[in-house]
Amino acid sequence: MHPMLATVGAALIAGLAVAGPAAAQGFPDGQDIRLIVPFPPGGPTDTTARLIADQMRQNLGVTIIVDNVPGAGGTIGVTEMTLADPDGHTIAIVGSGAVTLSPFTMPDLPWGPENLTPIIHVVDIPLLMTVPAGFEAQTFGDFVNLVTAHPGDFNYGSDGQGSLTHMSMEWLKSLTGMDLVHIPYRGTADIMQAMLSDTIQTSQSGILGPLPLVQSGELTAIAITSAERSPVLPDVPTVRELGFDDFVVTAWFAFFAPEGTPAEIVDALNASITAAMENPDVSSAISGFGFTPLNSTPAELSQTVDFYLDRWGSLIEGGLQVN
Amino acid sequence: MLQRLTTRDTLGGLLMIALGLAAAVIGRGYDLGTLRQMGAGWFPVALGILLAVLGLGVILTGRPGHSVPAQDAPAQETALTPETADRNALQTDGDGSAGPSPLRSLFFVLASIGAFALLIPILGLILTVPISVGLASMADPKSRPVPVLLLGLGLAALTSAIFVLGLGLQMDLLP
Amino acid sequence: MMEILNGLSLGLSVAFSVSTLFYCFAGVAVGTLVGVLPGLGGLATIAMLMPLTYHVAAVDALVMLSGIYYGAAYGGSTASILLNLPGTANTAVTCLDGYPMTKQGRAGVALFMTTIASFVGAFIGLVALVGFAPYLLAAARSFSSQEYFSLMVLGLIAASVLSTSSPLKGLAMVTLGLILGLVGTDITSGTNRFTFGSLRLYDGLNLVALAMGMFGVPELIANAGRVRSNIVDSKSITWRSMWPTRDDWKRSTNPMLRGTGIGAVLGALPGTGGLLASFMSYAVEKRLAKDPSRFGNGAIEGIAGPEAANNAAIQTAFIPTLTLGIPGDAVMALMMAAMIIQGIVPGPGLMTQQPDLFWGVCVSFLIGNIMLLILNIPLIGVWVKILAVPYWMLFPAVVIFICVGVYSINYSTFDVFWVMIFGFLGYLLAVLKFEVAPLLLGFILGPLMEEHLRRSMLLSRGSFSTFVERPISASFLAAAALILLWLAYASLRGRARARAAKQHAALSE
Repeated sequence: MHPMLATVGAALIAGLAVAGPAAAQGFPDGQDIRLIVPFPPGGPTDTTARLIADQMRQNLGVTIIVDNVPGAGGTIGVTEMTLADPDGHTIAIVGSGAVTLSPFTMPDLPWGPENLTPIIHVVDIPLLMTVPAGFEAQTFGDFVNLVTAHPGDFNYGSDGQGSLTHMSMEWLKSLTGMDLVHIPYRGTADIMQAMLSDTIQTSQSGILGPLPLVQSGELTAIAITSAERSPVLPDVPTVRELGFDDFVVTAWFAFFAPEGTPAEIVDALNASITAAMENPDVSSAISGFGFTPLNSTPAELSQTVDFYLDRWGSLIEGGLQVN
Repeated sequence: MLQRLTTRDTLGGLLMIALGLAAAVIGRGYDLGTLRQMGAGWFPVALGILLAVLGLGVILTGRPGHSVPAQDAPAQETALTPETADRNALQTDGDGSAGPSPLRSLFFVLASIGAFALLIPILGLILTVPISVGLASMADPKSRPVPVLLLGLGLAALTSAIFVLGLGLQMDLLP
Repeated sequence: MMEILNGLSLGLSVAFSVSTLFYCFAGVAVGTLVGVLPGLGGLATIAMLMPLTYHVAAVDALVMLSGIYYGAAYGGSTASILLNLPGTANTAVTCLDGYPMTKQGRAGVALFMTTIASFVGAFIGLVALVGFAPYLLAAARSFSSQEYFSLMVLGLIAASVLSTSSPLKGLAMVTLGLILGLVGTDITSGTNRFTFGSLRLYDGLNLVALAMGMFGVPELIANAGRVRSNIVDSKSITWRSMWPTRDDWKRSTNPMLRGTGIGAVLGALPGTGGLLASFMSYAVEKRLAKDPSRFGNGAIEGIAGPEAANNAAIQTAFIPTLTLGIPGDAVMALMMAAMIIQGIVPGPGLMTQQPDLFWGVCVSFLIGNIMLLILNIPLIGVWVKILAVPYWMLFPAVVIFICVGVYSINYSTFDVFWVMIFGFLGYLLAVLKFEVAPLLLGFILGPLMEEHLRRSMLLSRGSFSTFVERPISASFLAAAALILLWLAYASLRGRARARAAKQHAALSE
């Protein structure tokens, strides 16, 4: 779940159909495609999905109905998708949290990652680790040293127990030996406010939240969690560069179809979305949100899902409490 | 003493105690945690107990006549069974004129809402609205079928125009 | 000062362009409409219309979307006053005295006064936004979880004063509301509470379903089949009867100003400010009134103060969004998303880097509020005509509007069923003479209050004394304690008097 959407607490109205001329040639067979967006309309994910849907309509020649089914951290819409026929006519854009964290945090969920057929990974959102500008440690190295010297004295904020920003920091704690106290918040906006009032001393948040405050000098970015540095903040080192080789965490969004969708249909959808992502309007809008636009094969997406499931699974086995 | 047991405040207080205890008991099933790290159960249990205590307070301070608006005077002194309590309360809430049993309104208004919820995904707006209107109108024993039917059709047209055509909401108009 | 004047003149030049005026009008007109309809609120509408703004200039987009936001706040009181149907928790306060005024045939006056109060609140709130943003911001930044928690304690205790019957019942309703608010996923631990295994309940109970069910439905049940023609005599509705009397004006002026002050300060606090503002304003007016028993029976102060507070808070809520890039609530988060799509990153740099946008938006707020004033006063006549509809036609229509309105939020029949359940509970509570307004405030604040309590305890490493060691938090708690003591005193004195009167009556018999 994108952290900004976490502040969009209320559930909203479903969206508008992107109507187009119907043409029957191969897949799809001229029938409408229903794209489920498990978030309320208006947020960055919804906007991204609609931009992609608009391109798909043009390159597939069918109507794409964008259907917002918000709720339960983006899982209710996915539940609805998994119940649909696996014929490529119902797909969903799904957040990394719903796929890789909810299996651990929501035992009541009627589906698991195995019930999803990966199509394509479209967006990555790096997490930015920041400290208040007035804080005594202003680099990653100093920060680790300071916290290690004063175990339990400093706090970090997250989007809630079992959220990506919680898991990511816990992973970093386990690698560095830092003892930071976890303070859960409702969303990025609240975390930023707490950073400014010096209630908490650090957080890893989706880059868009802290970015304006970093640019204005109220916060200092000490590390970024993506594999590569961000073009928006080229001076901020990655955690990997700082000596933690396999540490890569991003929030991401990807398209999935119900379990059992035939490979040729998945490939057709992958090709259509890949073409949509190559459209400059789409990729520049996505970059504008501070997101990294991506393309992948279904197999690559499957590996990404497994990587995180494995990672979070072992942290939880190590005794981390998530619900 | 029997009178005291059936006043509004006593019944209300008992309801609060029941709800509070239920919340506390269910809340007890969640992790209570420690003072430093309160679990999911701490706040519900605390609130449940608080509600039960407040309910007790309502019973103890409640007297027939205490803090009920003045125009209600005849109703307060009488010992109330739930049913007569209903009637008394409703008559003062309405315009004071005698009417059909409040249970009749209660049933049909709620049934109308329930019917809407059940039928809207199946029948669509244009058919569901007249059915719901018909049910709601049964609350009024003097309602006549033809005007009610016309009202239902008129409202179906109006809501379709405002919500579906005007605001562009995705609702089925017909099955 | 010079800076502000320069800014205003820049803003005027931006806001008076034809396209900006058009988008401003479109925004406030749509806002008024959706505000009047129960269910669909400003948030949903902004979300629906946001895609339309991708292709217009950034200023125009922002002007239109915010027009919807404050326009909806203007319109929101209409259904509350006429039909006891609050679409939001803020307008639930307006129901308390607005609907009794309608029953007394004074709906026109109530609507007129809320329009004026909204304008006054919004206008002064806007002045605060332009003139005092840095100070309000500094105040907001000194708030940590301890302060929020204590402020909520104060707000909830003040809200229990809203109850026209005993304060204990008010407190019980607040507590019940807090408990209902806990239904769903606990964000601190991830535990799903009171959901009974239903995935649909993970996000909690639906606020609009609760408000409609608890306020509107019991009223319908009470009147259906019982009210023969209409709630008020249609002949009594004349233009003249809509004009507030000299006494109304006199009673309303100070509450409006006090309400504005409360709203302007609390609005700048991200999250809860605006909501608490209307409840606090009501409590303050009731406390200051010479005859508190008028409240709940059509006291005009009871709508003037809270309406002004609500609208002032809406204006100052833009402060953290525009100047820090921290959205205070869901609407502000959407607003920020709209700006980001336009390539504008709201934050501390906005005022200096994009002064035309900042000032253009501020000036357009002023223009929009004037438009709303002009738009709404003639509409009062139209709205009041609704009451002339015979009741046998009106009540099924209201049932339908509630159902469609609630259904339209999520396309969830589950939510509509909850209207039925809440309708039953609301009816039961009405019969037992419990007031539901405090319940609604508790419902919204429940999860937030718990969150701040737990976070405070984590931050203080388990020490309750943190709430009194911090001066701002301590003063909120002290005020809350004073209210409780006063309530206890007033109730004891009232009982003593009643006993004396009884003895007296017994003697004279």
